[in-house]
Amino acid sequence: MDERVKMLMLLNYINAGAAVLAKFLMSGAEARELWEPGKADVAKEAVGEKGLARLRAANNEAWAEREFERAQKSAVTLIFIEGGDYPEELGELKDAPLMLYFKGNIEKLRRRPRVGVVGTRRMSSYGRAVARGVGRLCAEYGMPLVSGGAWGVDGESQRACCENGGDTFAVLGTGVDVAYPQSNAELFRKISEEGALISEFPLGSGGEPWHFPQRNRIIAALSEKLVVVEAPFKSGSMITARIALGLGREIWAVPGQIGSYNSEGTNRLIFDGAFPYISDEAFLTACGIEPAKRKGAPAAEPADLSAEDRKILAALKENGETTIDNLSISVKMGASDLLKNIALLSAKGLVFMSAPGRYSIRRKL
Amino acid sequence: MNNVCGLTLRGVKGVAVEVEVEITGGLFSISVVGLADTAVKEARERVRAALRASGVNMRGRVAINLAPADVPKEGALLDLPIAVAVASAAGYVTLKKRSLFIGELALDGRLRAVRGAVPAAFFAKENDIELFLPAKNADEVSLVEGARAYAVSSLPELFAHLRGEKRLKELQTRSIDSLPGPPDPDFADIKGQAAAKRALEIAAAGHHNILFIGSPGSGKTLLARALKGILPPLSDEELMEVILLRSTAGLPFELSRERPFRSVHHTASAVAICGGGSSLRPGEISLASRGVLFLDEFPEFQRDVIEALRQPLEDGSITVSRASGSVVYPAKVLMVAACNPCPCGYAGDSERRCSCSPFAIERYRRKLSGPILDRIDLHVAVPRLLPEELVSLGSSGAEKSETIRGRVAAAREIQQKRWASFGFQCNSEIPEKFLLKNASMKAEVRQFILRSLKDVKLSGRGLARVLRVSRTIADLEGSPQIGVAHVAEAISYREGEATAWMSA
Repeated sequence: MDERVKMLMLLNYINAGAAVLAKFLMSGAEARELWEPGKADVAKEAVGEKGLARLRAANNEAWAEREFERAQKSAVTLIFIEGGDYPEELGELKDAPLMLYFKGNIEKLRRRPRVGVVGTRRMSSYGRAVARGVGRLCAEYGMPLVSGGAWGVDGESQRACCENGGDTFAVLGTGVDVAYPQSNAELFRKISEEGALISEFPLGSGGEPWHFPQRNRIIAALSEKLVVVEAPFKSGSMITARIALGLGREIWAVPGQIGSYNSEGTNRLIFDGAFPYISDEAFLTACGIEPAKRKGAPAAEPADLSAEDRKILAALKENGETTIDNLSISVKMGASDLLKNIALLSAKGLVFMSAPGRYSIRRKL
Repeated sequence: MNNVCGLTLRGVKGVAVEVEVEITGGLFSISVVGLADTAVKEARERVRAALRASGVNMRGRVAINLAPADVPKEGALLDLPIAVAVASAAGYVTLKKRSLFIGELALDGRLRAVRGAVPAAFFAKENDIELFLPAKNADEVSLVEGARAYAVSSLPELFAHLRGEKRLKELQTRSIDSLPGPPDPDFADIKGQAAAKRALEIAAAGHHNILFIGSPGSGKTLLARALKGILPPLSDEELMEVILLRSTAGLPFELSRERPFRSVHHTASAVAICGGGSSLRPGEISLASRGVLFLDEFPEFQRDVIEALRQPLEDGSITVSRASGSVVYPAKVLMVAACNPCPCGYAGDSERRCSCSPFAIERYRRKLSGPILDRIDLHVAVPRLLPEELVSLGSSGAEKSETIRGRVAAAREIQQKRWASFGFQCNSEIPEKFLLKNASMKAEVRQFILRSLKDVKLSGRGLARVLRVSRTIADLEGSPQIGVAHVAEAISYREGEATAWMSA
């Protein structure tokens, strides 16, 4: 095994980044001094006593060699810093990862522009609609989508992207062979076929709480434009946005209602100067892409609506989210007739239940 | 043979117990043999004191045998036959013909109410013998037509009758003609929740089990309580079954044709719900038979309890088997389950923020799955109305339970007519294969179903449930064929739709 590769793997194993590597190499030491017995002084200075102990314990079990083999067996590519495939944007990070585990298509990562999508795990129906909309947009215009594959906005945007045949990259807080959250396992399988799963954590790593904020820096670095869909004021998405800002990336924040917990962060980003994501067209234009004319005007209502249907749609448009009770008063219809009409309208995809027992118009985003 | 007959219960059936007494000389003692449980063994003291208070002084060794010897006997209702048999052996009274006695004795000779009076009345009727029972049980027994029964309030009164000194009056049979009083709560008293009310109407009409999903304080329990008010009143046959079960369980008698409503707490054990114990008592599901079984906080129930509900919900009856034997109880319930959308209860609420992690919600949701859901046709989201929403509803006239009950009864009649020749009662019982052939729908409905199958990912089972519900909705309108609107509404009640806002 190449000594330099082994050194990078072992350093990555103890979660050391580019800074540690630089410190170690600056001392003029050779790679093998990291693990050879009797030559601990230089190494100890670079990685610290505890780190060195863990590193040497791993080496005693031939961890690097075995990990290398495991990766080959499960078709996981290892990409090392300063290697040809290593995404150069990551180099801009103060503490770039020394290596990446990569499951999927490396070539597709070269496509531009890469769009990052981040947001809360507890999204509202609004957040979900926007996340799906951005995912679909990326697929339609061939922009690779980078996100974290988590619950909520991350997974939903990537799912929409996958479903529409786009390329998407999930930067995980676990090993690339671990499906976390479990309910996204099917999504991860699709991503690894069409795009790729990326992680700096060794194979089989579980989702430690500190993994997720750490991997956010990779999402930030890989994104040329970062779309923040829904984010509370204090959240991982806001951390990602701040890192991306530090790297000089474009931040796009989706505006939300003021007072809405899930939009406190995004609205603040807009206040601080982020681009407001007001429409797909505005975003595309900023990406230097000419937005295609939508097939058929989506805003127009289908022709075969009855007078009652129109009345219901008009009332929903005026009042926003409404319960059946309040709706039945404003359209002056009995509950059972109204429910039937609502059911037909939702079968047509015009209205939907946006909160328990409350209905809204389904906007095409 | 002294003609004294007692009774012990096996399920809702009574088993005759011959009470034999032998009195010989010697020091005073009483012993009871014949697989008697503690309550019966303790009868000795009650019988002795009650007899003394009635002027019967006992002397010598008294041996009491309860036959048949191999049937376990339980309950205090054997007090009275033992007392009568002892009095008869001591020569105080003579019985000319075989009679059935039930009742618990007080020390001063009064009779207390017992459980099992109605089964005893049925037993007496079938065997054509006279029944003597505590006066406090007279109300329920008087509903059993054709039973010759005498209400007895104390032991001296009974002895006077048996000696022919002062005859007791035979109990008059009566029937409940009055309809149930005003339903409580009435649908008109519940503000808003039109969607949930509509779902309850469908549930009542087609006997579909229903699941409410909503935040705390949205009114799920109130709605469930209101359901019994829109069900048609109990028929004679059903009333008898309900009274029989209530009497077997020892519940107080209610003179009403109102359907039973049983609300079960989620800490209840499988035995409490399904019945059992060494005395094979009926469980909540049997006590709710012909009425409503309400399970609040549905996902909090123990897994085995929920699984145990499956079979009775399917069969309409439950077999309780223990070492001491096995009995079949009716379990024809309309199940109303209620749950929160998430562990904290406020997911999707318009005012309060949900504090659950996505994982916790997923886990909660997973508890709400499995085969039991196949028995629930209607899933309904119940919104918590905001004060301003309630105000804007004003005093708009909500329908009264009585009006809805009328529609439900009409729909039930249509169903009975349609399915009578196939041996079904209501739409919820129709098997899957049978349904597709005989539900009779308009031509365009098939098209619509095929189209929506793609959009909403319905499984075969899910489709059958949707069709059953559509059939009921059509019946409520009196429409012979299922139309597109019916199916569309039924689809909005399918599994997952009530929580669709989480993934809309």
